[in-house]
Amino acid sequence: MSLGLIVVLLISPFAGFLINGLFGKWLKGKEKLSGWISALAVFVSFACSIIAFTSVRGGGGMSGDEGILYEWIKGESFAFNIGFHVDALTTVMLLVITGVGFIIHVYSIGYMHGDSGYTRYFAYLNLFVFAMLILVLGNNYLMMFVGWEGVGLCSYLLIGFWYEKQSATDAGKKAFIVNRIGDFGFLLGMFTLFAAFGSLDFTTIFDSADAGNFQQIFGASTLVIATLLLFVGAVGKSAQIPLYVWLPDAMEGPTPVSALIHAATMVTAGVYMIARSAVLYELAETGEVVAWIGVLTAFFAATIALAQNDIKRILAYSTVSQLGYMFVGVGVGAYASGIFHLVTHAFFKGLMFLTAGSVMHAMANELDMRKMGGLRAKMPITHWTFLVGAMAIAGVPFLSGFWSKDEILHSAWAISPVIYGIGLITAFLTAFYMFRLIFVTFYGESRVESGVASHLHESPPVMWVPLAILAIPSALIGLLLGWGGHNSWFHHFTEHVFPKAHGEASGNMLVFMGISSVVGLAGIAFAWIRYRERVPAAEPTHALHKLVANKYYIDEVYNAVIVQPIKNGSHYLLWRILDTGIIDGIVNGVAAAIRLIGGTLRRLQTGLVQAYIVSMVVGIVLFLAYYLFVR
Amino acid sequence: MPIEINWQLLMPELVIALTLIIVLIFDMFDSISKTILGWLTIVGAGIALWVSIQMQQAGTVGTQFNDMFKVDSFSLFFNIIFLISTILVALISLSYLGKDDRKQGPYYLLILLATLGMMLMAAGNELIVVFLGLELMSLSLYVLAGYFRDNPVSSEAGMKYLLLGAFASAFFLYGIALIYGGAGTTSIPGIASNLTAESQSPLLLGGMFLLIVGFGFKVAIVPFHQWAPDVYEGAPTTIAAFISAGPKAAGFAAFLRIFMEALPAMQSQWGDVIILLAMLTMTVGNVIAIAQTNIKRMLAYSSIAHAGYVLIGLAAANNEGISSVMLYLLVYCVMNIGAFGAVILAKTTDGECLTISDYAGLGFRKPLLGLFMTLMLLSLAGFPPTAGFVGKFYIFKSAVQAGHTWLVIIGAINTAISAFYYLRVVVTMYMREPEEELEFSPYPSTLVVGLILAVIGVLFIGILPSLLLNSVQNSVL
Amino acid sequence: MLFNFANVLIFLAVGCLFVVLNLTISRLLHTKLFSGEKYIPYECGEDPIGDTRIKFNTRFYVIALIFLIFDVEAVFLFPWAVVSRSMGLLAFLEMLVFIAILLVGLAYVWAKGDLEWIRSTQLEVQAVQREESYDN
Repeated sequence: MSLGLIVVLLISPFAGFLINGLFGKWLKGKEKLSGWISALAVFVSFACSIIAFTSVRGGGGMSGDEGILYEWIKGESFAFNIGFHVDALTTVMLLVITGVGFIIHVYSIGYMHGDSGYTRYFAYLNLFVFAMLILVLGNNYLMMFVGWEGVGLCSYLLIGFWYEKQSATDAGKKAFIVNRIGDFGFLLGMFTLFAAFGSLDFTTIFDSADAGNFQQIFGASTLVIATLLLFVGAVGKSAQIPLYVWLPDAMEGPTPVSALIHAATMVTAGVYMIARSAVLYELAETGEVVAWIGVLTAFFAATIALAQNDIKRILAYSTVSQLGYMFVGVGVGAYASGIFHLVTHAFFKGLMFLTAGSVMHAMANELDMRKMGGLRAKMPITHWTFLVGAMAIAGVPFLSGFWSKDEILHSAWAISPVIYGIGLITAFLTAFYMFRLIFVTFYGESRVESGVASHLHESPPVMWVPLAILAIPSALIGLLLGWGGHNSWFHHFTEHVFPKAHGEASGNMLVFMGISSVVGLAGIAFAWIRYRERVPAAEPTHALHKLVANKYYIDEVYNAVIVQPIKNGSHYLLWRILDTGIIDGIVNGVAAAIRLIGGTLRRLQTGLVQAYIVSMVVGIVLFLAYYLFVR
Repeated sequence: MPIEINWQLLMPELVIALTLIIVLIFDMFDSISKTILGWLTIVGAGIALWVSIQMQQAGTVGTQFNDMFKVDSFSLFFNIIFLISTILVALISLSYLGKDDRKQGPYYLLILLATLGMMLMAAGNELIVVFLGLELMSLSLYVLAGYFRDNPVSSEAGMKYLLLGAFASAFFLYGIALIYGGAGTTSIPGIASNLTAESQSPLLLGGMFLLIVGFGFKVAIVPFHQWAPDVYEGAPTTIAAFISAGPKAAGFAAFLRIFMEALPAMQSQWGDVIILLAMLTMTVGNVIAIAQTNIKRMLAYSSIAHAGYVLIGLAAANNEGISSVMLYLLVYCVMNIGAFGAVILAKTTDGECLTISDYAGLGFRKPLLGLFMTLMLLSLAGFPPTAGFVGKFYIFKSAVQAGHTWLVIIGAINTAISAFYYLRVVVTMYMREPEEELEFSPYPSTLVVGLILAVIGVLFIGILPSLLLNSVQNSVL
Repeated sequence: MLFNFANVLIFLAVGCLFVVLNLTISRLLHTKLFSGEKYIPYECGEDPIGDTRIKFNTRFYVIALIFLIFDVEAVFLFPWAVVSRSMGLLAFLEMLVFIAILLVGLAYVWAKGDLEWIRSTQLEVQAVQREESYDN
């Protein structure tokens, strides 16, 4: 594998961004061209990713010095390189990002048709792919951080894409601010690592950590602190408790964005980061914290999803919940299983978001499923593809989600039966809320308003073809790559990347598979019983329902406990007293002093040549005096 | 007594001299359209640039004319800086001068003469040659500063520059005389070999100090800086860009050569002064820049502050210091000319926007202009991934290595202060509503090309510094 | 060492003598006609006494400057003449180039009308006309 390949892979979406960003005005009337340029750019990356993938399969790869493109800046004791690390994990991520990314780009060409910000949208989308590629390709934490911030920025821009809408800009801001908390943790984690290892390169850090050869800046808990701080970053980016609140609101963005950024790629960056730092998490033994946060998030988000009526919101909470599963996977040391779930999830969740977009497209942006019903007849392709996705996530045997979720649960059993138990309940809930969504939306009587119903139609080919393409891996990828559980092809492919897990999965694989299947099918059956003909009530029926429907009032709690006190504190304490009183006093004092100095100095700048010469001579005399008398 | 002249060593200078004569001849005939002169200048400087780069890559070294003229990677690197500045300035001048034939000829002639002077300064291996180059450069600049002679402000700028410059030249010459008295020669290697750490005659001390004064004036170091704001404000904007870039680099080139090659034995004496001057220059430049409302004056004070940053590298007085100064000067020339170019681009039907409040709302109404201006200002403020960050990083690094940690701290504080006034312009452009609707002239294409080149330079050095860095590190004295 | 300075001394003495001699001869020979103008110190064609803030004609300085260039050229010719024979063709060619460059300069000044004592405004008028023709 050559560096040139990776450079092409990386630069191609950036070139797409530049073309769409700089010549947007020129492309205004030619929106097809703009979209296809952008999709082509990602396709080039995808082709390069396939080459890289075959090369890694053949034993190639890139790590350490050979991946260094060039040195950015260099100091005495440190050097920051622009370098790439390409191994099995990287290529898996590359294929997901560029593959799913390409399909979503194509889908967007149809979905965004006629939007006034068409070229802007594709510019942002290309920029996002570029940043995401930097994130997974970098061979050091600094590059990862650059990508990390880059995807955060693009996410913010795309959530608030329709900036005329107050709720969209609010959601963008919320995502940005909540992510900032996580990024701050990530940054501190990076500082800790740098202080301990004197480098941010993956190879250097992992080798030194293995050998115990580093500065114990926080004593024995150095690595614990570093990994936990990094995990704070992952919690923010991957929407885990307690920082998950931004993701459901992020659905204000265009739906393909939700599919690409807020389901398939960016939100999984945290999982990728932990898998990449697996060596550190093994040594620090902080994986269990990760697993617990993950499983609690999975359960918590699944319960919220039970009582939502907005399609995209259900999918959003489902994403949070599935991300929790991935964290359980990497937390219990089953790194390959966690990443495998990331891959399958990227396909089936991306698919479901796109189908939701297809529904929205037909329903004139209606999202409330109580106003749908019976869509199956009018939109057969959308219905079938959604069904595939839902069956995959629900864990119907032999579909992709079944394999990956089962592996995670199986590994969790070895660490803690409690985690396994909660995970299993979550699996039941997942199957239930997904099929609730299906039955209410696609089956039963049509409740579509007559004005909308008249032009209810299947989406154009540029939109349904991507759906069909995505449905294939959603159904089959588990069978192809995951057959055999822990001895599957996927595990063999990635086995050199991850350290040996501290807990071996035990027990008979088939028993676990059986239990999972039963639980998943039970969830579907339960949904069939309850929602085959019924429509969710307009108002919550009892207290628990109300609690869940209102998302446990977490947003309200955060608002009351964190946002308002900070606002009030800022207003009364910081602004009124500290700022206007003390700081302004000081600042104004300093400013007055500087103004006084400036005024005096300005008087020297009279504009008169004589005065300038005098000040020069005074300077000369002073310096000469210093030489002659002081020294 | 046959004299061997190695013409190849003199190629860049010869190319410029030849271009100059061609421009002169072309300007004589009324039948030739004068707009071609600017292009001639660009082509000539381009060829000289290409030759210099080739020679620099080949590692050409040699002396000429009885050791008075020294070509080495150091002088060639500075040639590259000067020629890049000249090309950029010529590009932004093409549209600025308009179609008035009478203005074109002498303008490009003088720019080329000044460039020749700078090249002589960087290659001078003899104090007298350095002085000759300095005067050739300065005299051309005096005229250029007052080039719009029907404009009283421009005339005033030219006059002031001439009077103060002559005054400073006298100091410089006096310094040379005293050093000659102390060291018995004006040859730079000769002085170095005649001096030891013990030889500290007052003559040498005085001479050395007067040289600092002379250079201090040319590169605008506090307290010898006061000409700068007045001249920058009054001079044509292109010339302000030119004065702030090439000549400053030339001043530092000779400064470096004389102090690092001829006077290293006296480093304990000049080291302290340079540190003091660096602190004073940075602080005064930045603090006064905050109070400016005219963007050209603001850029003038900013360029004073940047001279202070360069002095940090000089104070480090090690190889890293020299290479960081060279890198910084290249970066500074490109971004400063870019910033002035953006000022020229912001042209309304009644003239340039010179008050910072005129820039309100420009970011959205003139996106290209906003982009150029923002990038250049961010680079001047030293934000990654622009060239300004890389330049500052290496300057500070060299000083830390030399043990001047507190000097770096002051430098960093100053950088923070400077961010305030650079970003204020950006904030004005993007977050303020314009008070009145200004009518803007269409963008001249040559100016846009010049600015795009500057932007490419700034981003290229910022993202890929290592390509340049090796070349710089091989070019130290 | 000291003896070498004797040459300098002799030169100095002869130089002084030359001036004194010439002035004396001139004083003996010239006609003695006095007018008011002659009592005023000579200062490059300007009134030496009076307010400094006056308008004055710069033509004189331009001509003087141009003259100076050729003056300096002559100065360069002297050392060249001493070594030109021993240096051969190269020296000859070099001096030709040097003079040619100065001639180009002279031609430039001439073409720009700076050799006219009263500068013709005709050139300016022509330039303006050309400019207008561009605009049309």
